[in-house]
Amino acid sequence: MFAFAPITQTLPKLVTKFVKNVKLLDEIGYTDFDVVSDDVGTLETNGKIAWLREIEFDLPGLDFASVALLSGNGMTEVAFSHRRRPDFEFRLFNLDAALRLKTDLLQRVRQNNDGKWIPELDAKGAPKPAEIVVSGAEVVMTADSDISIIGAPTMTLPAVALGETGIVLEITELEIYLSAKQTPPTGAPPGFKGVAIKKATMHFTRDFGGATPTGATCTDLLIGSSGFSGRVEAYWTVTYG
Amino acid sequence: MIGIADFYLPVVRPPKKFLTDPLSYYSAIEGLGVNVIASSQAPGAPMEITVENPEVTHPDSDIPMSTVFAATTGFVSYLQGDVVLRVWGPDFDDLVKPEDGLRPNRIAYSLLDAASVQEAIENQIAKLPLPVLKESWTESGAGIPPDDSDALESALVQRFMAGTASIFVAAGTPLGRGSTAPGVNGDVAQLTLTPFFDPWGPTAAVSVPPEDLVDSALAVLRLPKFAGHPLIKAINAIINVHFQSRFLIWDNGIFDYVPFANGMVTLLAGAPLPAALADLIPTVPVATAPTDGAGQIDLTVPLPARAMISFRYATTNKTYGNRLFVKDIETDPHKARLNLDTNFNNTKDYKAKHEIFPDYQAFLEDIADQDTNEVFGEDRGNASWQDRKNLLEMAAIVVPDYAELNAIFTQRDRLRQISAFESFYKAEVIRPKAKTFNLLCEGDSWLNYPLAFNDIYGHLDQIFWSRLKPDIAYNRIPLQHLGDRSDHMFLSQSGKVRQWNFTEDFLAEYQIDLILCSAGGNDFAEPGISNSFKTEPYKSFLTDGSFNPFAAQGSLTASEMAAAKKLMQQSFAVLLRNHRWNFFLQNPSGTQLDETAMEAALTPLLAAVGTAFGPTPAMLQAMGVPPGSVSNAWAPMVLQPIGSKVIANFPDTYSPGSPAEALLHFVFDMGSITGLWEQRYAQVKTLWQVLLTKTQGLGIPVVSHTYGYPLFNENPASYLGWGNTNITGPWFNHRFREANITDRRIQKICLKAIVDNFVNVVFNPLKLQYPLFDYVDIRNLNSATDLWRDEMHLRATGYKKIAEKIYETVAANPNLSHFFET
Repeated sequence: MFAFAPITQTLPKLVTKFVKNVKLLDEIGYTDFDVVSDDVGTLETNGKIAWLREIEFDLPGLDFASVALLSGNGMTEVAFSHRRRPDFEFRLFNLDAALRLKTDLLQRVRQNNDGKWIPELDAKGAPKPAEIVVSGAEVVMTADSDISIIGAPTMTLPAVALGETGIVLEITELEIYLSAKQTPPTGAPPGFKGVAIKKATMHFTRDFGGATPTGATCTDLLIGSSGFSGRVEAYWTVTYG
Repeated sequence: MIGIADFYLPVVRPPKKFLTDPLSYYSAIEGLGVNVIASSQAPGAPMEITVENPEVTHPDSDIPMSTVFAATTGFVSYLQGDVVLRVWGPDFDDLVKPEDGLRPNRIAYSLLDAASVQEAIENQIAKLPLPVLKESWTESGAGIPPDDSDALESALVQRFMAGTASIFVAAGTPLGRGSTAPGVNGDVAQLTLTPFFDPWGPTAAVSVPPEDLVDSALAVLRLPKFAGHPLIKAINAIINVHFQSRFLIWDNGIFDYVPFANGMVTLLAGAPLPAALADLIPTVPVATAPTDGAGQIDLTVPLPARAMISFRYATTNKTYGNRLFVKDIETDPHKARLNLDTNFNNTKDYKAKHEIFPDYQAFLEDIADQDTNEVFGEDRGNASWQDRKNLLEMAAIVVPDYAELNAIFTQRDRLRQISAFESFYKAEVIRPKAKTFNLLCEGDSWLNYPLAFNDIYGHLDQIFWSRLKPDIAYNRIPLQHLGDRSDHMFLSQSGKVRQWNFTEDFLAEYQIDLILCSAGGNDFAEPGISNSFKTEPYKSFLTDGSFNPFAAQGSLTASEMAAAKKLMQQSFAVLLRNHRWNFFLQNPSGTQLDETAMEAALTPLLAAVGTAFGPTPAMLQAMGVPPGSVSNAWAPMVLQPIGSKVIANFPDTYSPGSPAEALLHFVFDMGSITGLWEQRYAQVKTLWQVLLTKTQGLGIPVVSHTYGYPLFNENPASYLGWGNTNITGPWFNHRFREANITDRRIQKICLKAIVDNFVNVVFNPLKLQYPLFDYVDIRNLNSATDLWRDEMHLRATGYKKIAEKIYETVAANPNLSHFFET
């Protein structure tokens, strides 16, 4: 059965007055909901939330990236559960979203037919932002605004160039830290929120003094609330004539 | 309406504007010949509603009386000729839940005129944004949607009427009109109301008596809209209730209910048709009956179905359990029509007990009413008139600051938690103690700092919710309040009711599993009569940033001077030998050293301790650091290096005669039996012993925490830590400067010593003396400027880390670990 409750119709008018782009909220809505449990001390609502096109927004406390709710053709629906009592908890199931990193240091690139790394551009010719696509995520938010991703969602980050260094990273393993409850990655301060790059293949797109590095490592690469940090090392075999 | 979700009865809408006299409004409608008749075939069966003269319009609109309104916000569908409303979650929560029943998550309206339903829904569909209409079109498989909104709307209307689309409506939205039928005095409009709860999954739906849904109109905050409503009058018949009830009373010797045997109970009733809050409180004695040995009565009384009733137990001057009752107690009120079988027999087990919360709330509100006296700090730290306001009262005044409003919410939220605790022990079914985790909290702003989640309690509460085993019920009694000192918490006073009386009462009445306590910080941070003191005549004697007792002497009356002395006596400043309050109280013939003399005296003492305490005053001056308290912008460059070095290099303990002791002896009034430093710690320890002696006897574990070193911020408290509006503080750095101690390294060393000494002379001896007492040492947990909100309080991240540490200690306690997931 078709149903759509625009979020603007479900929020108090006072709240919508503070929203800059109310029209955008018209395209996010509930397509299903139900009170599913009203036991002693427990009240839980389940349902589905949907959006009609890709929506990008900032989240308080998450200043290293914006969040984009990805959309295919037409309406995208995600199931949610909302526990109101005894303690607040909001869960989104099977969410596809992108964390768009707010840094000029990482430029999204791709390999062309010649094997060269070139910038990825959008339809207007502007560089596409570096983004981590999270697929099939279960996202949990608790009353203290703590957000965590549970389960094992698929996470991908397209290849990125490290500024003008001539180094391209193809990231094969990363972890997202959205919850201050998580133990921070090595090298990060307590309460770190961001992305830790665990494993990456490095490519060199320019000449480093006439020699191609014979090996390279990157360690503790962190993008997040503490900025962008980490260590990249390259090795050369030097032959003395 | 503020504070409660909108709700509408199915017929006869209240006026659009807020009512002051609903009885006159509905009376005028009835005067136009509009009569509502309602009945059910059997108790709990669907309610058949008939409206006479249905074409009469509402007084403030052209909507006819035949119109049917959505009870709540939600999705409506048209299924087999019935309009079915799926109740929106927040609205569901505000429906009245009968003690022995369910609330509906579905409401079916039958017998509505189909054409009028379509017309009503067309109005709702017209409000939908174009992309939504297009999505509906696409989803129906009709191909590429047109841009013509009329065509899109029309298609969605057809889908709705065919039962393949739901439309979202707000509470009170017209859903159509009742169908027309011939009546005695002309045509009438009729409909059938069927509420039910449809659980998740394959479980069958459960019907909800329509009368229970209608009762939501009689919730306190809705009475101004619905008092005298024709539908409520239509179902408010007189019923003969046969009470074959049993009466139980709480025995705090065994922490369980026992029969109220061979006693006397009095049935009390409220107004027959509630029209105001007072009518919901049963006060009129209707009948009295003796209870037998099993606590039962046999009594038949005619009662209006919607009148509120309760029973009063004659308990005055009688002892039950360990308690001598000083007044009668009452059961919770309910509507007379509830708890009846089909023959109007009431066989309910009524429960009544000594209740602490009502008196505690009155105690707090009394303090709040006298908030102008709070500067003297007799009862609480920072009670405020705002603490006692409810939402409607707050709406009626101009609230100057959003955050201020939220501060009240946290206060009221904690009161609600205490109320819920007591309600838990009055419920029909009470979980066994082994499945109930009861927490009592007492403390200061580290457990209660507005807004929510800016203190340890907010975070620990969340942790407990998430880590308790699913079958464990969690109750809490949060008594903490920002600004409270140990004496506010634990001091008894003959002839005066104080906080400790209530704490003792809670401990006597309930089995508490854990006490979380944070006490002592304000005993060392009290401002005394600082420059923020606004009360006359003291305000007139503020010079150089604080009260000048030498100047005030002779001008103040004896009682005014006694009050001033008391405030100075309990302040932080008086601990400093070179502060004028110390001279006034301890050494009147002495002379305060000026800044140069103090520097000359302190510099060699500091040098003897060491040099690695961060930037010197000269270095800070060269850096361009402004005088006075440093801002957050300077904190990483000034306070971080000094704080880190002081923590690393100044010892936590020191031996007699050591350079560290010599430095502290010069700064603080310490080293003798009359030393204010020693007296202050002894007083705090004595007050802690009041709590721990009590709890040790009851076998209740008590967990506390050290304070963090307050070295990383010098700002006063402000709402959200934004610095827009200062609330109180800073607590220390002004006082040091008043004592001409300007070297930050020495200031921070002294603050570290205060926190360390608290552990050394208060917590550690207490831990040895009371095996059930434990504390979490978090002194080094938050040693960074970005974790401090103001001079004395952490930001949420810092408090959360402490909460996690406390949880580790609690979960590891063998007396408590069984409550938690491993």
